[in-house]
Amino acid sequence: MNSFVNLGNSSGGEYVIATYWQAVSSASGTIQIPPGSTILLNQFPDLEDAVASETSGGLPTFNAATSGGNRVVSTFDVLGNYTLSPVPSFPIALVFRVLIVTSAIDYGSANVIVEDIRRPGGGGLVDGASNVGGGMEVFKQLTSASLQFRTLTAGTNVTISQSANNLTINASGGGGGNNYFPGGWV
Amino acid sequence: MGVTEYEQMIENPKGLFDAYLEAMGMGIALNDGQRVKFEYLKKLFVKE
Repeated sequence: MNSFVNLGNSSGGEYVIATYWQAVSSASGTIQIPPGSTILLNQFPDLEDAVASETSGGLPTFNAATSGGNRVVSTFDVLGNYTLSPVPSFPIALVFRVLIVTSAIDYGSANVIVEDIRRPGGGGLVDGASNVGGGMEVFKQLTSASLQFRTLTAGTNVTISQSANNLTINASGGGGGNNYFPGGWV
Repeated sequence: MGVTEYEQMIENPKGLFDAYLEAMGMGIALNDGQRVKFEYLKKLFVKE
């Protein structure tokens, strides 16, 4: 006999990956991001960010929507903006994944599928960061699902440039001065 | 069996899928949330 799992909301501080879907009826638009969640991208095969699904009786079948024999592909971003191409017959369901705190999940909703996947990749979710050493601290705080770091500001005679992988700090002017040591200038 | 019970988090996907199949075999209708989960799980466990 199989049993159903009822976890209640007692684990409110944990985050899980959940699959959501919303019915859409236009070729582009913005879905409503579930409260307490952050949209995750590249979650589906071929690194798709969201999947356009056929619907039956207003519910997703999780079969890819097609139009003219072509699979409908969706662009999607972390703000919930989407575009569909080619344009399908509506309605369809846009299926996407989020990282969401369990206390924010409406378990009674038919729009969410929550699997017990709390530690993707077997490694565990990041729940913070730390500064090491005794210097100034770059990491500030964890807010919701976002790690927040301080930015670097150039002071006098200093420039900071940013490239894809590096921050370069240059100092200009000054230099060449003498250092005073007890007993005289050197 | 309790398909009328509601399941919140899928802890055992295959077990839940089998439970849905068993329920439907007994003529028990799934509600919308269960139908969505069933279709989702079917993609995992049924080769088309």
